Amino acid sequence: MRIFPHLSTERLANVYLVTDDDGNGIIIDPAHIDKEIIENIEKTGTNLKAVLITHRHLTHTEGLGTLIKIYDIDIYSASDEINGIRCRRLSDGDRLQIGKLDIEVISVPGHSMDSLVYRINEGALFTGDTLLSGSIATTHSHIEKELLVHSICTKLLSISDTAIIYPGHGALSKLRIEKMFNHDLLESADWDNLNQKARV
Amino acid sequence: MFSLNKCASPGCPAFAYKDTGYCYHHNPEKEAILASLIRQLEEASTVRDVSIVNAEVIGVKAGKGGTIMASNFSFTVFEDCTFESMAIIESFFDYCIFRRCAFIGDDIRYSVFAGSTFINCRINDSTVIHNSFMGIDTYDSDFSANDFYFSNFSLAKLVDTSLEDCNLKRTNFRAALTKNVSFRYSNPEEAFFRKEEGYTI
Repeated sequence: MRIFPHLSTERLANVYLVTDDDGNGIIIDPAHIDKEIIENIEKTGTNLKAVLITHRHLTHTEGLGTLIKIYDIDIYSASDEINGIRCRRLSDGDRLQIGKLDIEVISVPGHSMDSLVYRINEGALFTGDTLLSGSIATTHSHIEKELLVHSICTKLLSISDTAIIYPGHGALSKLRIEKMFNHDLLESADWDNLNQKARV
Repeated sequence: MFSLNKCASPGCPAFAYKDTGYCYHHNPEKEAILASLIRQLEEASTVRDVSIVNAEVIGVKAGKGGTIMASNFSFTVFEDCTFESMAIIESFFDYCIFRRCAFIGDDIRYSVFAGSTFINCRINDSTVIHNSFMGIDTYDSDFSANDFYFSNFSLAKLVDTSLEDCNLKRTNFRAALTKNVSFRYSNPEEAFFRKEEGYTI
């Protein structure tokens, strides 16, 4: 598996091209599709099969229209449509097999009710806005923030500490790093309690 | 991308070294693997897709123009090493110890140094954008003349460290502690600091 991160300077969001050893590829969160991404797909000879959307915010989906004009691809998200484009709907616990990429779908509501995290080949977590390097997503209310922290603790922190986090914004990370240094999680009122439960 | 397969040694959570089935630490070819890494670094070739955790790399002068890409060096100790005019892309140096090391004129992107300790180290004249330095400890170090655009120093502890003449636009110093740190000729006003905290302690 190869993962090519790309910083979209239009939206300051990360776009990921993920390929397997046979050249089958997916794009995760097409924030803004620029020449560099297209060149990367073509230079690596990637057979682009699908696009996975972590959540429907425009910051992460604006380039979808450009991609479907160029490539014949399936689009997966938690909704039936994104920006008027039909999607294949995913829900918590679904599994996808695209080439040699084994993808587990984890629903982590809080930032938005349709937020998904994709776990690929066990060790790579594509978290969108849900879990960033050093922070968690913004929410509209304290209740949603509590829901988000609870979802992260129960669904993500039980995964191996060495899992690599590929967030929608900012630098890469690992779960171990976030457990130690994620300021938003550390500040959360019931962090200790939830973290303890996740370990058990 | 380095192998995400776990080491075959019972209870070992580390990633396997390439397709050998075992991590660096449990690999019967441990010495040869480290020697190969050092040779590749010194010859300025591309180090790619390797995971070498908890190693000791001492006195390596990496050749100019080399590349480290999509690799993992967590918990490794680097002493008296020089990485000059290199590209370090999408690589993990988390929880490492860097002692008397120098990164000069490098292009460092999408890489992670979180939880590491830098003692008497230099990062100079480098492009260091979009990296994680969360929770690092620095002592008696010089991080001057770099572009730290969009890098993250939250919860870092910077002591006797110089960040002079750096681009700090969108650099995150949330909850970072600084003591005797100089931002002269840099632009900390464009970085993120927690408002209720000052730059210094």
